[in-house]
Amino acid sequence: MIVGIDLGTTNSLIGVFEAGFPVLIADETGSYLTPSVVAFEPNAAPLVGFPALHRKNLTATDTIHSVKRLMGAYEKRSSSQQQFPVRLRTSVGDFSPEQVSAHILSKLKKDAECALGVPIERAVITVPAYFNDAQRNATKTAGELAGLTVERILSEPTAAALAYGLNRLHDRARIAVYDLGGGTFDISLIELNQGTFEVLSTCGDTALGGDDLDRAIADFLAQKLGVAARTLIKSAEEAKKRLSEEIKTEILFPFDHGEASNPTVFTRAELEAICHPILERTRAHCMRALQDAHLTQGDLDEVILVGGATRMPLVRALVADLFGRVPNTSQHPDEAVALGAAIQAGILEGAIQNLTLLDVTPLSLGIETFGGLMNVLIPRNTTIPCKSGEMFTNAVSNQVSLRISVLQGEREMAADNWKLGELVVPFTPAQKGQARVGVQFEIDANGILNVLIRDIATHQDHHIKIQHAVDVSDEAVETMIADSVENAFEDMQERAFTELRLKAEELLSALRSAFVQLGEEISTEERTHLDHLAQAARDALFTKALQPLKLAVAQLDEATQPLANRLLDKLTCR
Amino acid sequence: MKDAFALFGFERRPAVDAAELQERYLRRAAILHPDSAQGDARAFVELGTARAVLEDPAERLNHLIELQGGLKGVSGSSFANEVIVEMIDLAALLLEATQEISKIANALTPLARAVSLQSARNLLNRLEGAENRIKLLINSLDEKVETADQTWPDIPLAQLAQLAASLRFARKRRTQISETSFQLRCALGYRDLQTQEE
Repeated sequence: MIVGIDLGTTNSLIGVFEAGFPVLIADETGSYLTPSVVAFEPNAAPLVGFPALHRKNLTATDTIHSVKRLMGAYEKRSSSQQQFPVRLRTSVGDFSPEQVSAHILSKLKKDAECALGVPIERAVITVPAYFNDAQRNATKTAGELAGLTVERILSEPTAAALAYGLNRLHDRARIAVYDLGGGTFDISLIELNQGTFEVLSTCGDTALGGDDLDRAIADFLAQKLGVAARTLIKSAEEAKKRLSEEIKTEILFPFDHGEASNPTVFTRAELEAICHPILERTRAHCMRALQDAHLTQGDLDEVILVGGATRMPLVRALVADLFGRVPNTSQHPDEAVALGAAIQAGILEGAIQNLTLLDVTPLSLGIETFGGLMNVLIPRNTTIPCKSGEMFTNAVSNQVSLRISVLQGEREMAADNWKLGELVVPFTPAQKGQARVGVQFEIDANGILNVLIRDIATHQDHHIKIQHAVDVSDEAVETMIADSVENAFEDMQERAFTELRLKAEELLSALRSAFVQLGEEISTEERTHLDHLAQAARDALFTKALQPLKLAVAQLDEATQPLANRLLDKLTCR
Repeated sequence: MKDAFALFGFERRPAVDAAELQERYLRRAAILHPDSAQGDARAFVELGTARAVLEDPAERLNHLIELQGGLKGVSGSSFANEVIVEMIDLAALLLEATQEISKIANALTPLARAVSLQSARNLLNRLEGAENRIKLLINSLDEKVETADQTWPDIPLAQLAQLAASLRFARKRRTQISETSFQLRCALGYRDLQTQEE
């Protein structure tokens, strides 16, 4: 028997395919949802789910939540360029994100074993579609640590599409799945064609979700109440949920000694003003997905919402605006992905015959070439499994190996992409240009990269493992790790001047352009005033005087604000 | 590589019916996908590669030439004249746009940002013009493929090779242009958002 698991940022669920239907499995308290929270205690097994959540306030440092955000993450330690896998520090020891996730998976596994009365050894686990190779590998490892054979790593929006499409197997339709969860955002465009689910494109952000909204709300409330934002996360989250139903709510901030503060009114309008800029970030990803699939909004038949954050009226309004249609809310926001995972389990067990899922790799795969550029070998949105090869030859006689960097991402410069790791291509010693080695990159049905090396002369094949080294790209993740980076070696004074100089040079050049673009619209008086300030900045640059430069740049920045606004107005009018 | 035409049961010729290709691909993919009982990962990957070749007219023509025994020493991969004219203009425009995008993203002051956005708006208009020109170019090249298909096999392979090279270039440029205008539109879109908030 294979189970399907939705290993979420906030909540996790487990399901199974039984008698023709996907069903979710409840734990002993009757709940389908297991909060993705693990609490470590000395001399005891870690608590998982609601018990850990309720412990949270007592042992805050030993309670780990949203661990999904750290899957596959690496951190740079100060004073060295080397990267190390992230470790979470607790009073009972250090743990990897995979280990923490494994505790959640073990709990779900036990729940399923209790409910079904059989041992569970095989699982389908879902991940955000936009998870990269390292993050998928980490998820697979977590499953293995929990004693599960991971039969498939499945993308969450695809899973949701399966849940939506299971009883529409004879339809032809193009759908978008907008999946905004606790910590991640995905958008996938999928074509349903008589039982074949073909993913056309996928895009997303693995560090954008409900958590970010909670943090922004907490920051806002903290200012209003004059307390630390950290202590308000829970109140923020609850208020956000209440405001999906109501238009205003009261915030009671519980002090440590049990008393509550005076209630503060928090309105939906305030909530939406805070959340709007964050949610707007999903717009570009949706546009990108459409562009990649060569589709426009009008080509879509349905836009399906999944993920807890899509309960917010603002999200629904945004999606409606984005796609020009009322989104489909027929799927349970928390359960659709787990049901889809159970359906995939059914496919792998052979219990479902008339359904085929053609998923894609979300990110382009390539290698670094001469000049620090990325050479794409497998473009994003290629149907998986897939493979691509490249031939390498020795540049000098008797060269024994060649080191190449394997990259994942969409940027032109190699350095801007995720470096999956390095690969050493071995050569049989030969004359220059004679040794030839074919490297084959293969992305399997899990979206995980395998590398095969073939020596053309000897016809010998061998699989090699690339050494993973993934940068922590997300600032939020970096602060979560709470590892202090020392800047002691930097000369702060010099750095401050350099930053100011760049800003000053940019302003002076922009001012010249603005004079041209606005022409007669600037009065002589204003022009003289600005020229005067610009001269002060130029003087300070020339004499390399830090304080005068600081003052001049600040004055110029402020004085040019009206010009910037006028330019933006012109842009809007046209 | 194997005969992609044969794999899908198509006759070897310059044009392929796109809808029919998709239909046949899905039917075979459903059987060969590793999840299916008769699944075969290797054959599935081959199928995907073959579809990619047949879908892209430039790749398809080159594959056809190869299957017909190659060009045999005839040098014929130069571009059509109308393509050469576009090449020069577009490269400069794309470079300018890419620089503007990075300026907007890295602007330190509101004034610098506003100035760059003005240029972005102008660049976007120029890119849209270029996009229309390249679309017309691709259309005319596509028509040539249709004509070649009608006269097939009485057409020199060198002529097909030139068509393939032109198509490859034009389609690559179209991708670059739409990608660049997409990024510019995103940059301008964020500006709209900021004014809404104020």
